[in-house]
Amino acid sequence: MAGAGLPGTGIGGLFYLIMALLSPIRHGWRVITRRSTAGSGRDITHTLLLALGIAAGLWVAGIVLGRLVPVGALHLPTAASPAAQDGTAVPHHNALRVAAFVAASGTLLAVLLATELARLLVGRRAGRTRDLNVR
Amino acid sequence: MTTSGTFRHDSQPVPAFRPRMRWEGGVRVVPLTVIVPAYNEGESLADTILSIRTQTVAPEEILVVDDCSTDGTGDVARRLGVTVVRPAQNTGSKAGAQTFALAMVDTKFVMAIDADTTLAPDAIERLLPAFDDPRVAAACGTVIPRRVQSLWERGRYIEYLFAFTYYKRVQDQYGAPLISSGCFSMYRTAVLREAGAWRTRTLAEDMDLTWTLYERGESVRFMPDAVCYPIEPHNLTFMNRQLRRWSHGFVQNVRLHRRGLLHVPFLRHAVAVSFWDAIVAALVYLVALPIVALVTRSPWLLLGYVIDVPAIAIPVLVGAARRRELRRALASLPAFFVLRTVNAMHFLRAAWQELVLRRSFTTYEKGH
Repeated sequence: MAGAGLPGTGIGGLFYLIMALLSPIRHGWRVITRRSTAGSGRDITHTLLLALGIAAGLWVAGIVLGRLVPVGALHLPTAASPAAQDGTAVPHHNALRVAAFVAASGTLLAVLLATELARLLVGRRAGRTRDLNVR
Repeated sequence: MTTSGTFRHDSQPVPAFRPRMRWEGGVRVVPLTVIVPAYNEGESLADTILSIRTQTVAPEEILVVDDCSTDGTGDVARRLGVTVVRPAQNTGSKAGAQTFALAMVDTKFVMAIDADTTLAPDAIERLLPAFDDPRVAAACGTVIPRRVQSLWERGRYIEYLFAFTYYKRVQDQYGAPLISSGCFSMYRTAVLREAGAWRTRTLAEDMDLTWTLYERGESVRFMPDAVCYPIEPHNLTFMNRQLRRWSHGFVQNVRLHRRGLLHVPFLRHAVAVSFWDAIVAALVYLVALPIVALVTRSPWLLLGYVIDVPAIAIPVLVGAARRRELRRALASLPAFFVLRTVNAMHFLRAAWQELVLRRSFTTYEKGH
């Protein structure tokens, strides 16, 4: 078994994107505080560049789709779209809406917060709130 | 070993391995026993054994567990001069066969390799430096399908390129690879025994063991340059068997370890996100998206199935370029989306059966 879940779909993609972007900061902090680190600078740069490439790739894909798909065909909320002066909505330049990103980020945040809440509850119940020292 | 192209890998310098080594016939020998569980693997076992015997760093012993095969698996192994052990009766699972052999291991390190998996010539040498850190209890490497021909093999090839080029590296940077893959992993023998070794309480014994190690405060590492090549399911029948085992195994492990995992930084979040996606994203993917597209009469919404192509393609193509397999990766990319759909069905079914109906699937079906 190599992994779990559905790679690419859902909030997992966003989670790993954020983790890869934060990895150099975490690595730097652990070096400054003289704590052990997993992964070399080369590995961290590798995943950082991948994450930046993915973000750029999604943005470009959004632009391409925005030009290909007819206006209104996706039936998505237009709240994030700029309005023309006569009040009608103008076509999006990017099919990936800010609203969709906010919704995915909100869901991810909710799942992470729920996990933390569960940890606190279980830790309190079991009388062991100390994190295991993984590394 | 099959094609010569299979063993391509990065030619990075191999870091020094500090533990004691001895030399035999010009080859370094390390205190390592390789366990190969095998049930009716006569066709593939010879390749596996040969790939172990031609390693740049040799193990002290290769132990093949002939789990009461009926196809002469034991004879194949004996002809190649390795130690063959045979339990009194079939153990019923890979975990059972591996645990049976562990009792006979007296080396500091032990490695488990599937009988349909071959190793890159320097796989062991590149895995060993993980154990320079005394806190590391287990290490795993990159997995790449050996045969990439059928739709299902191609889908799996993309899935693995993606996972091992991107997700697994991020997990390692945060100190918690999600799984030390069962087809190719090395362990400190003493820690493995203390942790209960490979248990049969779930259908994903490698995930169970990895998470048990974390809960005990041990470390696990992913060494990307150590590469192995398993044979993956070539048709839907075998793929269904494997995915059924994996999806039920995942749900069973989440249920079993849910409390212990909450105390492991990063892993708790990675598992929560994976579990959410396995259920909610699968529901959206299989149910919500087609229904909304139908109700709103907007076929363009079906683009949602492939909207994340860049997110998949970029890591895959980077990984493939390093292996000089760009053409193969590009040709295989569409197969990934077919495999992902089948995968989503299995996850939903497993979650329904295990969590709602409380009907645990416990039959170990061999399917690579």
